[in-house]
Amino acid sequence: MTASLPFSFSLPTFEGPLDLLLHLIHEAKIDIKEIFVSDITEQYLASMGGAESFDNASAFLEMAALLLFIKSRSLLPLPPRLEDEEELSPEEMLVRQLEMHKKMKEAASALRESESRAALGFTKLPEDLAVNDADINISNLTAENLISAWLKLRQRLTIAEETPRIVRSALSPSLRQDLFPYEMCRDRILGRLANAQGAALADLIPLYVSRMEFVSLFIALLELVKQGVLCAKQSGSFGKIWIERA
Amino acid sequence: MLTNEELNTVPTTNSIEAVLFASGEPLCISETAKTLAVSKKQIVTLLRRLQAEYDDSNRGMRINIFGDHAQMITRESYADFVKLLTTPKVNQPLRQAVLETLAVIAYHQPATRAEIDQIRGVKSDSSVKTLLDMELIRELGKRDTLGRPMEFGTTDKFLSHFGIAGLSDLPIPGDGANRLPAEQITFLTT
Repeated sequence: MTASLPFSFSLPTFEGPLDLLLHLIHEAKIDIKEIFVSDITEQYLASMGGAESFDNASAFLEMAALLLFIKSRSLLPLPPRLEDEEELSPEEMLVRQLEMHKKMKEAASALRESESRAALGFTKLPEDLAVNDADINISNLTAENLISAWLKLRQRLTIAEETPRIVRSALSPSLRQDLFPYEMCRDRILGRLANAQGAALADLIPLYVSRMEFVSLFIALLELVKQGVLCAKQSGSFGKIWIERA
Repeated sequence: MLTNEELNTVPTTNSIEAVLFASGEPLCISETAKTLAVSKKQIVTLLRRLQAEYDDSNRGMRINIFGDHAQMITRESYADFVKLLTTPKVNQPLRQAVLETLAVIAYHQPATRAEIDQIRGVKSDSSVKTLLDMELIRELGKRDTLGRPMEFGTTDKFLSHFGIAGLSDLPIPGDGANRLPAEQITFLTT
């Protein structure tokens, strides 16, 4: 970039006001401490004027205000500084902040180098080795169990295949009638439980209904449990799920 | 329950090598020592011996020891070869804002959000969250000062991501003549 060209860049590439200030200092080839005797403040304000909207706008504005405050201070005679005054002046504070920011940038680029070097080493994905997992006991199972489980599964599959397609509404070919509205499903479940202590989940939502009906009933049931109307109990893993009024 | 002798679980460089291969993911040194009822030092010694064996013969794999973890990893010098023939899972480089936030935490831990914001000059909440989600940093506890702010520090995963053995091996920022002596890396003096 030559000096004759107007200074231009897009603000959003700067992470914050310190970033922008450091960039300006770097471009002007001056030391951080010389910032207040340079025209960095003007450049900073000018570069903000060009930006219409950017992230961290308030932080950029705050810095602009600080820079102007420091500039105005320099035009006025300062009260004599007390010897034991611990507090840093705004100028010293800003210089220190900029120095820390610069070191942070250097640290980040050192880390970036390490990162790209480390990216050259490859590791294996962890094996799916279950360490000391509880044994699954299948000693009590018999061939009959296996067959009956298979038959049950087959029955379910057959039902699913035979489920009739949902009738499209006659009103519009693109609109589907909600055949199983929530209210209806809710009433059906509550009706089933009206005179009973409770019911097994499998009885409340039978498998032989259509898929849409099955899902609607299940959603209604979940909603009722969420509302605290019903509660679900299970004696153990894979045990029967029992639904009753809460 | 079998005793150690019966199971032959006295660790050797070879058995450690087998475990490192099988697990794939980083092996926690202190947990391994605890499980095998041996000292942590013993495990570290074996790992270092194994590491030296691999390095001496410039094997395709090397043993990466970082913090409290060890992992088998391909040697960096063979990276081109590995990439030519396979498509390994590559760690994505961090976004600049996230990297800078991490730099503050790494070189100045434990660090609070306010300190990070002060050095970066912008709010760093989302970067901190990203780093927590990536498990590159962790919450260390609350600082005993006004407001009891949360303190953050880096994790072993951080060491692994940057190929660093321990916090004392953090890369030294600056270049050439500007290189800072190690003890001056901490850029927060307040």
